[in-house]
Amino acid sequence: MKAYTVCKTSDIPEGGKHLVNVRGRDIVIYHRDGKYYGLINKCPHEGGSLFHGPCMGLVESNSPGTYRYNSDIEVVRCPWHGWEFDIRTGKLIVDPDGMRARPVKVEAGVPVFEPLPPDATTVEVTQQDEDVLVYL
Amino acid sequence: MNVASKLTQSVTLVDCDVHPTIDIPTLIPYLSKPVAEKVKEIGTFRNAVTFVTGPVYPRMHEGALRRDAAPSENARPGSDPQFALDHHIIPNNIGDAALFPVMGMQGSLDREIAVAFCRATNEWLSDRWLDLDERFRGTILVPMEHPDAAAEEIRHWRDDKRFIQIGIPARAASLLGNPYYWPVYEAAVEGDFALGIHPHSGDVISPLTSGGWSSFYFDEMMHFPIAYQSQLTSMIANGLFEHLPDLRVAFIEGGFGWGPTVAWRLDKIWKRQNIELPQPSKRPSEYIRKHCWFASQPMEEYRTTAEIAEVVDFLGWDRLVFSSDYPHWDNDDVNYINLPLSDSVRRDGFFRNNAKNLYGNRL
Repeated sequence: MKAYTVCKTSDIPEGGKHLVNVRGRDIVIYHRDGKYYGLINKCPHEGGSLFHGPCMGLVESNSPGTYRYNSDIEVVRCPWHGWEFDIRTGKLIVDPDGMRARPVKVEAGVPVFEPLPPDATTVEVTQQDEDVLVYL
Repeated sequence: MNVASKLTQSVTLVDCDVHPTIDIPTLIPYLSKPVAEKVKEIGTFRNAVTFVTGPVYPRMHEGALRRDAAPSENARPGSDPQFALDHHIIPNNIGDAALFPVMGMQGSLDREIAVAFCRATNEWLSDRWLDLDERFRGTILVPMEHPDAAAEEIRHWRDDKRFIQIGIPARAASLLGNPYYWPVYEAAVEGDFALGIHPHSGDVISPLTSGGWSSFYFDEMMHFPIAYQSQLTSMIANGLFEHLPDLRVAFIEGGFGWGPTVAWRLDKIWKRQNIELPQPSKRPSEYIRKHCWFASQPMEEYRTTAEIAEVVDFLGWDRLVFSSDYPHWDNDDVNYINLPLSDSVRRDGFFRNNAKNLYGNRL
């Protein structure tokens, strides 16, 4: 793994986001509570640009008509089909198991499947003085 | 990734559903002075229902548009044809893109408004999009509830080979097989145009469901294919395909999983009840395999390719055409097509040749 200086800290104000490209890969960086979080800028569903997705707290509900806004978790919602991911962990909020799978190979005429990769791919991001570093 | 993009390199694609974004102020200069004055006086429209200026349900993302497809910060996705070329058409190797303007006045019962706005939209599309690049292919919007005027609109454009289909709303005041609408279809066949049926804000004149209005966009989206089951049934029952043996129909933005179930049930009912019909009828699934094409987006998400293959096997691999729905939020990216397309006939058919059959000499 190698460190790449991708931008200055002044490029990403607290609460902001920034799109960088490292070795041909688009990475979206979020700045939250003094820390930096990176995601590969490709939704695992159909490849939508997460950078263009709105960020918000998580809306939770236990029953129809009652909603709770959970601001402890911040999610990015893909601008295409609305898949939501925790921006800090890349974790998908709605588990796609059972919704769709994708074939990987055919063995003796029988397709062998594995589940879709459910989460957005995280990338380690750190700050060094005035620089923001991405590890790939 | 992008196994499919390797698949698509051999042919230039036909994308059967691309949306130019239109707003009412843009169309005002294309209206006659009295109509423009009327609109100024009583307010702008968006939907077929007067004074409704937004969609019936919030559209998930603003205007149902992809936020990453905005040409600039203040411009709406789909508003700039050059951007659409650079962002979607060129990178995805698309040779022909069927443009479908989502213009709500198409379904208006106000004849003057419906006629004027359809003509304005067609002229705007011609000026702004079709003139720019030959890969852009036009849909003629017609005032659906005024079939004689709709036929006239089709005849007006018939010598313009850039237009390839007639835009038909997914719901109208009556079911689409009703002979009331046949002048529209007769003019389409006369001009060698396919029909492209598409759900949009011009068709809120009745619910997409067969039972009433939905509570949310969530359940309305489920009813795109259900509306198509009703429309196809109506066309077959009324004998439309007997009346117009050369009619070609594309069902856009309903996926294709709905096809086999309606065909099975229709074939069953036909066996028992065809005596009821006013005209001799072939087995309904025969009409479907001859007259109907299914645009892929939004593709059903199956568990296995074996499941999806069975569905398409029944419909016929020559019945499926690729559509992206760019730049709408629920688009399908060409690189993520979840179909077994390793066979080159299937692959080239899906991405190009089937659409050539659908659009005929106009493509």
